[in-house]
Amino acid sequence: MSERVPVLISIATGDPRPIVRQIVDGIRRQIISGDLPVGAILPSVRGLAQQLSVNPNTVAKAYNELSAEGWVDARQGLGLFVALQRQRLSDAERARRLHEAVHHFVGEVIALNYSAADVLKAIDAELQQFPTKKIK
Amino acid sequence: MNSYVIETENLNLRYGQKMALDNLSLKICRGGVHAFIGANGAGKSSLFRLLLGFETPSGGSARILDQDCTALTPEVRARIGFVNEEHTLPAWMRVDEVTRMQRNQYAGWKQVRYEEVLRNFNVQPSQKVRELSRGERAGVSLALALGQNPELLVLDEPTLGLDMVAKRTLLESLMYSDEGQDSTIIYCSHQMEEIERIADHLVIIERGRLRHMSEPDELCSRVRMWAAEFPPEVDTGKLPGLLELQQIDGISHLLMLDSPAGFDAQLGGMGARNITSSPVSLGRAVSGMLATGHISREDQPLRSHHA
Amino acid sequence: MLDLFIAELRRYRIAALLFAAASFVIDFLVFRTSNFLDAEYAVQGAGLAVFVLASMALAVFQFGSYKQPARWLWLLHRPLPRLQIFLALHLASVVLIILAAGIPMELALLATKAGNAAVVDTRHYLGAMHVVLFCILGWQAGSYAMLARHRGAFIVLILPLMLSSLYLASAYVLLLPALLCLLLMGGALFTVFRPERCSSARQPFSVAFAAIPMMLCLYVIMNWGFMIVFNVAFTAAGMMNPANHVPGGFLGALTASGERRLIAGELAKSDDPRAQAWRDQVKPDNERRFTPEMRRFPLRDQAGNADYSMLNAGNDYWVFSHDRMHYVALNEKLNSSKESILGPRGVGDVTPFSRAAVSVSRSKTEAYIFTPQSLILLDRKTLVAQQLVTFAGDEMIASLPEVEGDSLSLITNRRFVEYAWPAVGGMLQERFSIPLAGPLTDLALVQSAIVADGHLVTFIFGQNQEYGATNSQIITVHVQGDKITTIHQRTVVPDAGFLYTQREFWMSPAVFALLQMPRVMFDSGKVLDAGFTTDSMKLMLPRPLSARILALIVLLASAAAAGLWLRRENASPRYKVAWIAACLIIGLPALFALVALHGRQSAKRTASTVGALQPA
Repeated sequence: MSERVPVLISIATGDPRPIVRQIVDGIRRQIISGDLPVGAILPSVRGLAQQLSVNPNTVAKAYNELSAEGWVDARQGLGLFVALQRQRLSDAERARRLHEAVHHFVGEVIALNYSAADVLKAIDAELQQFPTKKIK
Repeated sequence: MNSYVIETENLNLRYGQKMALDNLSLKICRGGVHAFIGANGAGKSSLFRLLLGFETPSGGSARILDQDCTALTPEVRARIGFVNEEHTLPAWMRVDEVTRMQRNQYAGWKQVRYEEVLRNFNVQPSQKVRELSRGERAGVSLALALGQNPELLVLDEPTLGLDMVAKRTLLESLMYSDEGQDSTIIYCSHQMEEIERIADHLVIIERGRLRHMSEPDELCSRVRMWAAEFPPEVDTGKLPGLLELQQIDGISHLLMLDSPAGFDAQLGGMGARNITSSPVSLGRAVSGMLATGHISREDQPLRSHHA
Repeated sequence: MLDLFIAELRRYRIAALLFAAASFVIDFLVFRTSNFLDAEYAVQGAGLAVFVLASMALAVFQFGSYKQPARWLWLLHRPLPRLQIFLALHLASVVLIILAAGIPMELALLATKAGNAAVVDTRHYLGAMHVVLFCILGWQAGSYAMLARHRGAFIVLILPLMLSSLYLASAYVLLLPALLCLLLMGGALFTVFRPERCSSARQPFSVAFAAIPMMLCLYVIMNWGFMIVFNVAFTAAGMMNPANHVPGGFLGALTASGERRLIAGELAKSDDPRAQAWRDQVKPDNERRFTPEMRRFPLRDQAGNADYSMLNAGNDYWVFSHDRMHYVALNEKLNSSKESILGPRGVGDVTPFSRAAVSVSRSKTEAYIFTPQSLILLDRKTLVAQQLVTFAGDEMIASLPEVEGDSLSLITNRRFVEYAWPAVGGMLQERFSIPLAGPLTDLALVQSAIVADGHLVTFIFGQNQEYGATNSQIITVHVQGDKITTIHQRTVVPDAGFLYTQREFWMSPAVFALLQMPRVMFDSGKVLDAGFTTDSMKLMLPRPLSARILALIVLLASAAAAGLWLRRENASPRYKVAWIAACLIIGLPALFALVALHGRQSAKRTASTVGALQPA
């Protein structure tokens, strides 16, 4: 199952998220949703950079981050492969990251004046799009 | 090999009464794309002209590729490429004639790389320079600079006035080349869209001084937009790290650099209500770093304006 | 370097070809149909000016575009030593000038000679080479004016004009100063041919080189400027009005001479007992004036012409050929027959003249032919020549012969002579001969009157007062046969103060001496004063104490001013000392050159302007 699969993410300039972050988030999203299956070969640094019209160094940084977090594996001379997703983070780290994301999210929606139930419904709808992976 | 391609120390350049460069000290490390940002007249072009030896400093020193800028030898010049916004080429010659002249002069000429860029721009070697469009001329100019295979490539607003297609082709030719060595690239522009895409490092120049130097991600992570309602008697103009203050519909928007942990609590302590914060885009962060008011050091409030 | 050279050649190839075609046609027409080749230096100078201005225009176009920041960077930011870039451009311009001006002119000369439409000597072919050298100098000066970033760079544009002032010397000899000028100006241009376009303060030698043309041109402009301003003020103040003349001054004497009452006036001041009696005999119509107009003679292979030297005699135009040293007829039919040669004894005489000759017509039937030491009378119908008088040693003719009644008067650089006229059987016989009491170059005119017992002759010296001569005299003598007695002698009172008359000296004794060198070294056909073998009269002129003190004060003041100007400047001590020493030795030109070249750190340096879209 080693084949090159296109990474269909897009980059927006003028976005508060730096481009590295956009690439990392985008690829993570694709891996989680299954569009990038385990074992798929990611495009070369230069190739993805050219596709996104960004600096290859930025793509290299994103790939490094994905690799460090365990989302992809580097195989000598062959490129980066989507790795079997094992939970690499400790429970404490996971909790911390969840808390931070929730805090950030709440900060952004609090002023919208939705009821808590509506907000939870929206979260639910979004999560439905991803097959949940409860890997312990 | 020196790890810095450019070093300046207390560099001064005076034009009559005006200081084009004012006590400028910076070090540019080897490798990557360094984006120089600054308003027109901020001193970027003067700096490049000085670095290439075309202006004499009024004070301080500058070194490029480990040589004093006022005494550059032909060998060092062979390692430095330059592209400017005029894309100067001799109008009375043909593209292949100009190329032949360049090729004969530069020992490390990479014909393949040159041809690749020329192809990207759809320019035929037999065309006359006089008949090229602005974008095609930019392409030839870049092709000649890249064909030189320079150790350091300086581009001073190379996409100014180019149409979208030419702009994109230029950036792609710059970033995605197989051949040749990894040049250190100095890219000078005030178009944030380009900068965001290609910059590995940011150098913000303002009024002849170094305003800020870091990587784009780092700057973005340090700048944050806070919004809150303040009671009228509170003077928010003196907060440390304040880059910009705007009053819109009774709400104060504060663009902060390095806002400390618990800043929202601090604002609350000052009597603020409805405190929110959000990250900002790189362009917003950069424009916040550039002041049009008086100059101050980093971390000091610059100006306030009221909507 | 070759690529750059060829590229620059190709840039102007069309313009050069057009100019070459036009200049060949115009040169040929002018040489053939007018007597341009023998015209006096002012006329030839105007023709030269056209070419020099054209090459300056080339420089202005070429470097007007190159000096724009983006293009200058394109030109100089390359892995070539700047000497090679400089040579590539310089040699390209030299080739363009040779192709556009030099070769067409030589071809036009050859064509003219082939058609026997004018006399074409070697000196003319050399002259075309000199035109090329002048054009190169003009191009260098124009380029420097365009590129140099300091103030006042444009004054070097007068350098070709300064060089042309030497051009009455031999065309061969003048190749040396012309080439020296090219080296000087070329070197100065090279010092600004660097990325920052100014001579580096860290290389004093390059600054010195750039300073030399500036100093020379500044000196000349200061002099001309002072002279013009002074003369305008002098005239405006009404000093030219005889009523306002300084009593006992030079102008007063000239006016008296013009009104034919000079001798009478001198007699009135004399103590001689006979003076009163003579005063009654001397009436205005008796006083005759003679001026030493022949200040210059043509010189063999002279680059320019002091005077028109065409002779119209025997239904033909005769032109003096420097190659053959005799007159040649322009009539095509007579091309190589003996009838087409005119020598010292007339037509058909193949003996060459010993010196280049000049002719002046005397009447419809007669003309004089002069060389510095012989005077010949030519019958214009029969073309027979008769030797009237010859001189030996260093004596040279200095005036046209004046004939009145039975006497012919002549001024030489040694004496004033009257001969019996007409000549009987050969050479002229002397009646009386009065040695000049002062140098010929200082002699303004001679006035004489006949009295019962001989002649009264007054000599007015003071011609050179304006240029620094002091102690000029007005001398009146009485001559009868061999007996000469001085009747009255007085010193001419200066019409202008020493500040003006000694200006060439006190402004900079060093530059003054330097600029006199070419006059001293190169013979330009000038009639020299007795006892001088070179034209060093002006150089050796004794300077009054007042002028020398003033010169010293000016030198010291210049050095002090230079010290003040440089006091707070950021430059090495060696640099500052060099400038102060230069001002101490050279004076005002060096000081002004310092102000122009060095400027001040706080003074204006115009910011570079952004270049246009399309390069030229």
